[in-house]
This record gives sequence, structure tokens and C-alpha cells, in this order.
Amino acid sequence: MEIFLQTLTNGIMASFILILVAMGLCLVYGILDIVNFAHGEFYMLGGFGAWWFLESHPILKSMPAIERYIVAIVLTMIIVAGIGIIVEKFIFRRLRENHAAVMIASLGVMSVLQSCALVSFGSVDKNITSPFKGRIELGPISFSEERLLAIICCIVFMILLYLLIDRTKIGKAMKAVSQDPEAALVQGINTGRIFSLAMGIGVALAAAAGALIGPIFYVNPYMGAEPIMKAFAAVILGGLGSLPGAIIGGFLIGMVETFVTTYVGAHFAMSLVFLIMICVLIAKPTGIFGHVE
Amino acid sequence: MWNKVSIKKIIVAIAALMGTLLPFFIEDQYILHILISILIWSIMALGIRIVLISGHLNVAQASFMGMGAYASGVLATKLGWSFWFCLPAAGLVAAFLALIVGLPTLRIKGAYFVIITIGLAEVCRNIWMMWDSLFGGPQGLLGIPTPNPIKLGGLEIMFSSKMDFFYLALILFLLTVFVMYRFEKSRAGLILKSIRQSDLLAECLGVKIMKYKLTAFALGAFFAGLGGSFWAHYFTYCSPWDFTLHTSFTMLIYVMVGGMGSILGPIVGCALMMTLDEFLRPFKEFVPFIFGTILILVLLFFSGGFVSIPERLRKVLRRAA
Repeated sequence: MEIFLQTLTNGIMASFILILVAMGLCLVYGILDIVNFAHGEFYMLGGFGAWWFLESHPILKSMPAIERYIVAIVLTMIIVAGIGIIVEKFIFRRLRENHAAVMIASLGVMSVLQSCALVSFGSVDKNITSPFKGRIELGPISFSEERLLAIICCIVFMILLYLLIDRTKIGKAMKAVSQDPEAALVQGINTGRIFSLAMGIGVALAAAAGALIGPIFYVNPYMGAEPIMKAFAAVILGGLGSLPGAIIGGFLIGMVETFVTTYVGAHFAMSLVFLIMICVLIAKPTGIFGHVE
Repeated sequence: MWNKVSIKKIIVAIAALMGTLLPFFIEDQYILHILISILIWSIMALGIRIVLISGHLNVAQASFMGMGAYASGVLATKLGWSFWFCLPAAGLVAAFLALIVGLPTLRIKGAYFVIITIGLAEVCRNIWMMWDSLFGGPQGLLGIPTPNPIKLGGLEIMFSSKMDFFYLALILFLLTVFVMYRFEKSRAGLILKSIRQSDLLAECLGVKIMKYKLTAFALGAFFAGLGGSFWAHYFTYCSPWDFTLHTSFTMLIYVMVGGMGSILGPIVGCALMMTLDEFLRPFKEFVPFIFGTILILVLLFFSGGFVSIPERLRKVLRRAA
């Protein structure tokens, strides 16, 4: 029972981090209509950003823990969003006509970003000394403060994204562009700006996930490969381009992965995740919330 | 009287002759090994391209190669089959897998196919890693025999030197090029191109688009399986680390850099990039950066790849004249 509860709490944390990555991926797919293989690399950059700001930046050293943590995450998100917007504007947008070409270009972006990180930070795993070291004891289960903080941050980001898309004019414009870019353009929506914005928000969410996971595990240039695959599985499961689908899919995948890793074995987890995905595709080809184009 | 087609044919014939005689002039075993690798990787790249023609991106080509390699290795080591039976069997196993995977995923448009092939690559790697008793686990399947000697008109080929392997690779390569060329120039090739432009229209015209997409996918996988079988018997082992997603991504880079417009593109891409890779050996950590940059630049400025450069030059010259 203890193991079960502990796994459950770990699973919730893993799911929320995965949901952040999957939502970003989903947003980029829904609006730009591209599968961004480089998404995991933005997650990795987020981890390195947090490491750089928390470990080696002199100004942040003097701040109190919570402020330091928040400032580091926000700055990381802004910088990574900037990189994402540059990539979108100068590479993806020029190739928009050809789907396969954009996907392959994102593979190129992936290897460039990965080797940039490798050359500038080295391949050794980096630990981030978290400002939060305490543990919360709740009966039989113990829970570290940083994991709790990660969950809270994920929920905050989810609510913010929901408010942005559902309650603002920009959100409405994003929905319009995702349904029909040309019609949106005719209505006077600056589609170029919406593309940049979607890409910026998408990769910023990935960066936030990386920055939150950094202090809990470790940071290295290859850390982006695994979450991106799980996020793909989550997004497919929920239905490509559907944000609620990404949340449900992310939650299911995160839970299945954590429980199978604990009770059966780590190697088995990823295979099972993909087998579930293949079975869902055979039964309902467009995922749980997807619709036929 | 020297029209364009005959000049092209003569160039191809000369190139083929030179390629065939190449091992006699090359003493260095290492260069011969690189040539063999280029031939085998070209087979993989051609397999990726034939699916890409219909607008679908296959990122599990290395896994089909691995399936072929492992199938061939298991048949040879556990059941003691001769290489000459393992080779077609490996191709068939890979093609069968492609049919199973393609059936649900090629039905729907969009990114599903790409993502399912990513999943397939992961599942394959994990199966090879975990099934120790059959596939040898993380250190791979060891002790795969080299191809059994064959007698060809009094000449016995022992497969003890790199030269013998070179000719076997060349035969596989030429077979692939021939089949791919015939396939593309036939009705099926035209249909695949029409599917990329508008699958709905093609379907409305009464074309069974699933049939053609599946055939192309299975054909690419079949030759990948053949290449994988060759690879396993050439190195006498195969490990899960040889057939990862990263390998497939690299193949994809070669296809795009060479140009996917023609059969020649992937071959040129493989030859150029693999040679470049050898020259960049001292700067190993910069290789992904350089390859990624080349890929992005080619996609942005030479969407036809390297093979389209002569065509472009001709256009520029004509405009200048």
C-alpha cells in the first residue's frame, strides 16, 4: 500500500510535467500544423536555463529562495520562447507549404540545438541544488517540497493557458487560425503573429517543464529525447491538436509509465505506452478527442 | 545526334562500370568498407524516399533494417539456416511488419504515421534489449556466420575478403535501384505522386490509395530488411544500438540533402554525407551541428537537394545568356 501511494504521488508529478510538454506540442501542432521534433530540445534548454540561472548567475544568488526560483523559471521561459520564435520565423514559416519538409527541418533544428548544448555545457549530468530541500510527511508517504512546487506550477500554467485561449481576443484569434488560416487572414487576423505567439508559448511550456524537472532529477543535453516521445504518445492518445486531449493523454501516459516502471520494469514501460497508442489508433484512429480533418 | 537521353545513359554506364571495377584499384580495406556502407545506406535511403513520394514520413527505417538483421541473425545462429535463405526471409519479415504497422496508420492523414513509426522504433529497440534469450539483450546478437560460400561457374566465392562483400552489396544495391526505378516509372509511381498532391481527389477517381501506400511502405521495408541481413552477416553481429531512431534521422538527413526528387538524390546524399562524416571524424561532437545546419540550409535554399544544383545552374546560365 505504501509503495502504491508513493507511486501514485510520483505518477501525478510525472503526469503534470508530461502534460506541460504535451500541451506545448499540441498547441504548435494545432496552430502551425507541424509536428515539431525539436520540442524536446526546448525542454532540455529549459533545464539548462534553470541550471544556469540557479547555479551560476551572480545577481540571483542574493535573492530569497522562492523569488529566485520563480525568476529563474520565468527568465528561462522568455529566453527559450525567443529562440523558438526565431526558429519558427526563419525556418518553419518558410517551409509551411510542405509538411514533410517542415518535419524534417525540425529534425535538423533538433540536432543543432542538441549539439550546441553538448558543446557549450558538456555531456556530464548536472545537478541543480534546489532552493527547496524540505520534505512533507503525509502519513506513510513522503513528498519533497520541490515535487509539490512542480505540480503547483504545472497547474498554474495550465490555468493560465486555459484563460488565454478561452477568455482573450488573442485566444479567439488562435482558435480561428487553427481552424482555417486563410479565413482568419481575411478576417484581419495577423496570422504571422499568431504563429510566432503559438510557437513561443508552446516552447515556453516545454522550457518550464524542463526547468521544473531539472532540480528533481538532473540536466544533460540528451534529456529531451524521452519526454518528447511520451508527449507524442500522449498527444496521439488524446487526439492531435486537442488541448483537453493532451491533458487526458498526458495524465494516462504519465500514470501508466510510472506504475509499470515501479511494478514491472523501466524497459517495459515505454513499449507498453506505445502499444497502447497503437491499439487506440486501430480502435479509434483520431484519438480520444480528435476529429477527422 | 547526341541527344540528352543517350548522353545520360552513357554517363550512367561509365559510372556503373567504374563502380564495378573499383575494388581492383582500391588497396585500402577501410575505404572499401566505407563504400560498402554507402551502398547499404543508399538502399535504406531509397526505401525512405519511396514512402516520402506519397507524402508520408517514415522514421523507423533503421528499425526495419534491424528487424531484417535480427531475423537473419536468429535464423542463422539458432536454426542454422544458410545465408541465402536468411536474406529473403529477412526482407519478408521486415515487409510483413511494415504491412501490420501501415494498415491502421496509413489510413489517416496527418502526423499519425510519423509518430507511430517513432513508437515502432522504440518498441523494437526495447524488444531487442529485453529478450535476452533470443536477441542477446543489450550487447547484441553475436557470432552470426558470414555468408556461406557459393560456386559461380567454377569460381568459388568465400566471403572472406571485403571485396566479395562489396560485390554482394553492389548486387543488392542495383537490385533495389532497378525495382524502385521500375516501380516509380510505372502507374504506381504516378499514383503515389498524385496521393501527395491530393489524396482525396485520387480516391475519388477510383484509386485504391491504401493499396499503393502500403505497397510502397512494404517495398521500402523489404529492401531495408535485405540490407539489414547483409549488415548482420557482414559485421557478424548486430546490437540494438545500431538501429535506433537516431540512425533513421541520419538516413532522413541524407535523403533530403541529396534531394528526394529523383532516385539519384538519396544515393548522392548518402555518398556525399558519409564521405563528409569520415572527414569530420576528428570533430565528432560537431557532426550533428554541421549535419543539422546543412539540412536546414538545403531545405531553405535548395529544396531539390544537391542533385538539383546542375539544373539550377543551367537555369541561371540560360537567364544570363
